[in-house]
Amino acid sequence: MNAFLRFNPEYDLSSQPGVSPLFGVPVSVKDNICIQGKETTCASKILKGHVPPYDATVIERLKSKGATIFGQCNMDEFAFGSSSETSAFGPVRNPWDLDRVPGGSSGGSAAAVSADMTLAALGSDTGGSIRQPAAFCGVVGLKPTYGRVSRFGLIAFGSSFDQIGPITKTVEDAAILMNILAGHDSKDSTSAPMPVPDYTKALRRDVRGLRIGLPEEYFIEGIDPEVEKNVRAAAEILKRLGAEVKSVKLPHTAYSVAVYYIVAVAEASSNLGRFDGVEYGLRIPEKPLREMYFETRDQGFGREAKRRILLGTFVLSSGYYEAYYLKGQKVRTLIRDDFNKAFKEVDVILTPTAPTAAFKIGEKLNDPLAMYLSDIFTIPVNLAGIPAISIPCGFTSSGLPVGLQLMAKPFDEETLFRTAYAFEQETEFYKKNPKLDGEK
Amino acid sequence: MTYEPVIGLEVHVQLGTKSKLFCACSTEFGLEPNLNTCPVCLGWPGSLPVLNERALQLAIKVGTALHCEISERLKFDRKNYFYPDLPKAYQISQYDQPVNKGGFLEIEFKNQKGEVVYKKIGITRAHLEEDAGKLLHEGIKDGSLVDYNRAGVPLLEIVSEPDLRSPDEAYAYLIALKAILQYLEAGDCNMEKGELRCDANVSVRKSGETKFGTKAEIKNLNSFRAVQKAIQYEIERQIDLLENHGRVVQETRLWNENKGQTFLMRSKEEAHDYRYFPEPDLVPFTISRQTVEAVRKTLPELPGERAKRFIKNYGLSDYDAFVLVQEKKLADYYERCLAQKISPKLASNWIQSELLALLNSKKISIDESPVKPADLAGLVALIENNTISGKIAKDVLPAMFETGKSAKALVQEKGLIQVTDTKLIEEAAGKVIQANPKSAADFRAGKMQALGFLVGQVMKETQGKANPKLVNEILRKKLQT
Repeated sequence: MNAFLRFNPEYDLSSQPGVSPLFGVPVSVKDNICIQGKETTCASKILKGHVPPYDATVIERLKSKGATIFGQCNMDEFAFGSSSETSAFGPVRNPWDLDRVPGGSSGGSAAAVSADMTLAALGSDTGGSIRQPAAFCGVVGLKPTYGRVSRFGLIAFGSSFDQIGPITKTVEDAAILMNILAGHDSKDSTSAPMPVPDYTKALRRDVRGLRIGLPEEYFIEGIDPEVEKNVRAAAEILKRLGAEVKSVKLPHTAYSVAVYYIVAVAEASSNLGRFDGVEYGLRIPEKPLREMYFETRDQGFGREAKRRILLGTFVLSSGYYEAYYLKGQKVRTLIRDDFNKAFKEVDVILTPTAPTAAFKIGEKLNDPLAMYLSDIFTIPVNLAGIPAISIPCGFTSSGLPVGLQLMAKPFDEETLFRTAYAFEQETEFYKKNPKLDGEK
Repeated sequence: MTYEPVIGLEVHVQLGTKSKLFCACSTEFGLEPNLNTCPVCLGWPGSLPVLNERALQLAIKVGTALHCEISERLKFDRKNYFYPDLPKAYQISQYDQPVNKGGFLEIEFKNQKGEVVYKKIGITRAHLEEDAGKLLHEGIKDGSLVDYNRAGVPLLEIVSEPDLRSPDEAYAYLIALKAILQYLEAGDCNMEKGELRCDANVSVRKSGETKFGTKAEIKNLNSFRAVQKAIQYEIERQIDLLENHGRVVQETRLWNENKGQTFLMRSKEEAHDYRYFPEPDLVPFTISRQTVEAVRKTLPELPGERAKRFIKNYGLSDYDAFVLVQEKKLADYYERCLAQKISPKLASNWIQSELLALLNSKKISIDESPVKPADLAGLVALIENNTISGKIAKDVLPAMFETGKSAKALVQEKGLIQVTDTKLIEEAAGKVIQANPKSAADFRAGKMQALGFLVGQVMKETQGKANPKLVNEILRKKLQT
């Protein structure tokens, strides 16, 4: 499956049974989260051999609770992708069908959890990179509210979008991990100084009176009918459990992908400037300096990284800034307003996580636009900074998992856990595992 | 054809904080390369900036002293470019919403007629940004080394309006700005340590023309004098071009101190596109009016106000007051001298002429002066009460400087107390008149210069200790009778 790039064979000796809540729990992390003393590469050639001198805040928190940082998960290079095929170290495969992608960019994390290779994993989500692979691999993936989990130590892609979140087998596991991950961090100015509730208390298996909205704009042409059928059925199940289901409008949804591919790549182009061969990572020793820059970045970055750096550089350029970046930011505000309005009427918005189930390896790799559209339902959440969770809601006729996305107001992860838990306990899709080699 | 120069200055000042702008690393100067670094100021992947609150307070303080409007919203932007001294390949700076904008600085300088004149120079903006590291080339084969100790050190970039009209005005602007910054304790402004850096925008236009000419930006100005000289050179270069049917091209030029010329660094076409955009790692926040008001209340007396007080309370001339206040430590020294009841004017004269000359010759700063304010005041008091003459005092001061002893002790030790005993002076005068009959006769014949010679002889006779005024009187009396 190529889900892991590296394993850590040791477990933390300071971890104690009965004392450390995560004693003996192997948690794996996406390879864009810094671990002190361990190579961390973002699945890019340009960072091969790079060893961070510090732990990301989330790693510190996991270690403090006794977790064993187990594997470092493969991913799309610098989290640029929706299929985990752009890794410089080879594509990740989906445990449900090894010819298919696990989704991306946290594909290694989702595949490893799905195949029971790790108990839980961390991913990062800039435009759907936790939720879409969780959907493709039939596991739970939460993208917390922007500012809920510290980004310190997460190698940045789109700084105003990125959030670290858990990928787990069950909703309860995700809630347990969020109790540890969430909270203010003085090292991250964008982290919110807000109290963290006990998320496990939200796992009540009761959705009576909950108002759930189905946005018309998410049930569009091009969506796989099997996905639509499973998601609509999920809404019916929640209704049967006592939730009120109604239609809501998110009128600016259609602009989401375009806006995202302006603003996020603008930030990415700037964030990736530091990989220049001077301080760390790859350096192609050329003289003079300009050639060193050119050669290092040319050989170090893959095609998709280069594409996004070029796009981002273009939209920030003098003469284009107003037409692209500034306009994009304005539309982003409109999309955020859409959600604000919708959340006056409902508590949760229910959508498919992705328009299709897992696609074939190679199917979209050379068609960036088709690839970008596989994040069409997850991107608006990052534009608005709200939390969302993907949970399994059934299977296609060929046995591929389908994901259900639930969104909530900023910092209302509790309502997501409550809804997701009720649905999960009712349907028990999580009990079905992919058939791996030898089990056929 | 006469031309008018138009000059604007961009000054980078290192703010005097203990730690860097976005991390806890020390700002201490002169340490081993790359000692003051951490993942944040080295721009390591995954690191994030956190604003130094003290730097913001200092920025607001300077802005307030420069009469700027303090922005209601603190927002940072990224300025993107590649260079090995810039670890993140972007500098965190402020683009469209500087913390301070629209102020002025009053400068004082001598015009062409030699009169002291005052002028208000507009301040366009003063914004916060982080410094870059430093490339080291010397003594390194095959490449360069980078020292990131300076990377992330807080800077305030203070941009003036193009209100300056001569190299002297530019010089006066820098002196006045440095004085304010030192009074605010916002920074040490030591140019040798790079704590104050200046770029100059220079253009010329025909006298009477209202539109600006094409400007050139001059960099690599390492002293206030260099700024003055480079601007003068640039004005002449541009006038020369215009006079010879050429035209000025917008470009960046480097000042070469040894050659005394500016040279092309890069043309407008080669200028960077910095791709500014809002820094997503630092969420904009509101600067509360209470914060601004609190900072305003901490503003000390500024050099302009202090000069006015010196003129009013101590009866100093405009010029003397200006010289004293432009260096805070000097003005502090002066006021400490006045703790003793001595003539403020006399004290000012002795500091400005004799003491500063001694300090300059030994390259010692005023706060390290071996002659402490109380000692200098003691010396001035001895002159005032006629214990010693000014002439003797000029010998006493260097001795004080050397030995660290008080004026009183030295005067007693060396028996320098001024002779005011008329009998002693009369004796000496009698001797001198006898020994110089020709001079005495000349004086009596009406040649007044002869008196000067005789006074000198009496002073010599008394080893300079006689009160010159008394000598004068006694000689006249004796010669006229």
